[in-house]
Amino acid sequence: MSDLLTVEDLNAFYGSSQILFDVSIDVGDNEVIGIFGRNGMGKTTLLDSLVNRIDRKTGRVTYRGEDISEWSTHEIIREQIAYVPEDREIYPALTVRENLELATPSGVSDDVREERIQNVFSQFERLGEREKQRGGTLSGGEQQMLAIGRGLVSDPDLLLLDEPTEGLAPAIIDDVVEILESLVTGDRTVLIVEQNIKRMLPLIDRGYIIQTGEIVEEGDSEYLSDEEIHERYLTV
Amino acid sequence: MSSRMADARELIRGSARRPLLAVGVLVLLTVPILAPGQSSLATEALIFALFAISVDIVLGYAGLLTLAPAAFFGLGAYSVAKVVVDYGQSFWLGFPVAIVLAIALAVVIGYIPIKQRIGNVYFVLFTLAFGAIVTDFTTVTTSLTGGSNGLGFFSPPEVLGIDLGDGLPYYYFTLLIVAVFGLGIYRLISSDYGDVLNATRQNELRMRYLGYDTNRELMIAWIVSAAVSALAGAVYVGMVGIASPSLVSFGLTGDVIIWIIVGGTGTLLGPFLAAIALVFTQELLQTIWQGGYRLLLGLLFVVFVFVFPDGLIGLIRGDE
Amino acid sequence: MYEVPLITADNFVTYMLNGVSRGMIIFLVASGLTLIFGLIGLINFAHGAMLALGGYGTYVVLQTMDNFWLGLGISVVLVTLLGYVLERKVLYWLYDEPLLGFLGTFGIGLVIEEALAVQFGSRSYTIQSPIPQSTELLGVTYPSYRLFVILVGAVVAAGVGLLLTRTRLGLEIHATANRQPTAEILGVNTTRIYTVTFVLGTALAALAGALTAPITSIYPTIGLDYITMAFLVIIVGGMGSFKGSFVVSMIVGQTIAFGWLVLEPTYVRILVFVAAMVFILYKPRGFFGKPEVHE
Repeated sequence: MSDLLTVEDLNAFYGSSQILFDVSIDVGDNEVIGIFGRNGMGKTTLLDSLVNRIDRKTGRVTYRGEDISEWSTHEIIREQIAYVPEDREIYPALTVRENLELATPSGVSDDVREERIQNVFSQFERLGEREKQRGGTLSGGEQQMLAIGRGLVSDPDLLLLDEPTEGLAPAIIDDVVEILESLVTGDRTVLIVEQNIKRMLPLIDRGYIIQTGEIVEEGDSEYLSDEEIHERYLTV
Repeated sequence: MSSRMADARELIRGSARRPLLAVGVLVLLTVPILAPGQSSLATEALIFALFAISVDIVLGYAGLLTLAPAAFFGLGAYSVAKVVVDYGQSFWLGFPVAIVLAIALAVVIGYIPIKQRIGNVYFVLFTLAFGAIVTDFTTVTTSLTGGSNGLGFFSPPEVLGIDLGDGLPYYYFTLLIVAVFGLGIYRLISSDYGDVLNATRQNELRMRYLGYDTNRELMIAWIVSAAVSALAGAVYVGMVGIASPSLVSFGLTGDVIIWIIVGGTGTLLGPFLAAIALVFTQELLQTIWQGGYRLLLGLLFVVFVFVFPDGLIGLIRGDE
Repeated sequence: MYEVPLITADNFVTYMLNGVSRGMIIFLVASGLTLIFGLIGLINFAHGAMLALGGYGTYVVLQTMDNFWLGLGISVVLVTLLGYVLERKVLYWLYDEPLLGFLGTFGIGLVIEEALAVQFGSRSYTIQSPIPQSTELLGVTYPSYRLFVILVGAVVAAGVGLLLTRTRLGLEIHATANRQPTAEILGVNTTRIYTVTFVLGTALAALAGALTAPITSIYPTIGLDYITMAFLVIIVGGMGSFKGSFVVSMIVGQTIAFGWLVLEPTYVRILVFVAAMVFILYKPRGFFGKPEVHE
């Protein structure tokens, strides 16, 4: 199987403190990969490192065989990688539509842009209803949908999702998981970072567990469903 | 780095410090004898050196970037000129008047912005507006300030049979004032208060958690700075004999900021020496290339901001 | 003693038009400043020097080729280019350090102004109006060139306003100004957005300098006078608010145009500065709560 994304010996730093230690992972074409760990273990930092959103890092990130370690964030994103950040990062003063337009690559034609935005609206009907509403007026669940929608309008080959269920009410989590189920089928590679391993196991092909900046377990979803692993690395 | 640079570092830092200081004092004392024609230039240089360190208290130590130091310098100059020229009172009365007015104005202008912690960017703009008001006010209130003609001319009085209106005595009078207040500032900054200011500049929040009333500490720095700036202005007007709008201008504000940056912010010695050196350089260049001085000054400033932001002192110390 | 002039219906219109044309020039300067501040957080003290260069450039071309319009075009293009080089090669490194950015642009402005003083002397130059005719308008005869300035200001206001609110570039500018790291993960080249905005702001300053030359004459420190006023305009209008800079420029223009009927002009300026100080203390975000550029 050909690797879409490989990470070798990644060390990442915020200021003078090191967050990641020699992390290596690989993501194959059309694979759905989960990365699990408690809060503060370096999950977000790992995603941030992939798109160069951190102070400093060493190691190598290869995407489609190209070394993208030194690329700037937008250059990486423009290789059809979408990043859905943990805090959603919706622009509160922009409307739902403007948030989506912003995320559509500037190279695509008006027709294609419109088509992709309409696709998002048909997938997330509540966003369609709130097309002209400002992002700041949306509920937490709607903001998460908009954040995912922003990831989809670039028609990504690789989708990076950071804690998509975090901070949401249980009923809303069900909605989001349903959305994720629809995303992981088909020809798309997805890398999901989560604390909530139980909800994610049915979605993923393989996964890693991260503990204080190091990869400590790796395996398929069956292996990672072991309660003992959950006990040791994930239970709070 | 060359060995000469290392020697210079050794001079500033190490065992050579005392002899160097002695040489400096000797030069200051004998300038009028060594270069008899230059005593008024040397007086000006000393006054501006005092002005530079007074502003450095705010800019370098407290971390408040002000665009209005000339307002306080000018206030000092105009106070003395007003007292002497318009009210016919003693030259000496002008000094306390200058300092009291400067403190009052500093409180009025500084109290709210410092208390509200408006932040660096807004402090720059706030003092820009204040500086603009003072320059406009000075030129337009002709009955109070003499407008663009200024207030003058007058001479300092005789003291104990010595005519301070002469260049030489006035130099020593200035040297005395600069020595007393310069050392005073040095003592203040070397005391615990200096550490408090430094720490406040770097992390105000932490200092507040540690129980310091940072607003009060910054306010003290702001007031001391204004008072000494006004004193420098008062001594200056005694030398030139006239208070004119150029003493409150943004040109002078620009000059003092340049002296401080070139000398090294947050070091008293750097701005002090830079002011003296640049005043003499200006005089030297004046005869060679009229008008070119300020262009070179600007270039020098840009080089320091971009390449040597720690100033001359930082350069010599080789600090990282 | 200051003589208070009387107001009549005729000179009312004249004063009002004076206020609008003066306000438009202030707006051209202030809008560039507010874009740069709103996006980059940079107090750009070199902005005034760009205005001065625009004026002197126009003057030089007018002297050598006897064509004001050519001078305006050439000087705006050259100053814009200079803005580009400055942003790319020098200022870009200072964006994380607002105080260093302020000092750096202060120094650059100083160098440019002093270079102008060395080259042209500190005297002021007057430029002949390129449109010396007058136009009948609202019952008064008014200099056509000033009407032209009003027109240019209005076109720029509308054009840049539409650019900010109706185009993809405007969307990207908003996104970068409000949260630069988010803009990057949506694929926006924020480095380019900084450059584009700085260059646009600089072009507006150069345009203001060229346009004001026939009205006010030019001198090396002309920029300082304009940016002091412009900074205070953008404070009152809300730092980063394009609309705010327009509305407040118009108000300030009218205040100066009519204020001198009751007060000496310098006092009117002082009042504007006092208003700005009060705004900094009590309403630092200005009149307009929701700026187009900066949140």
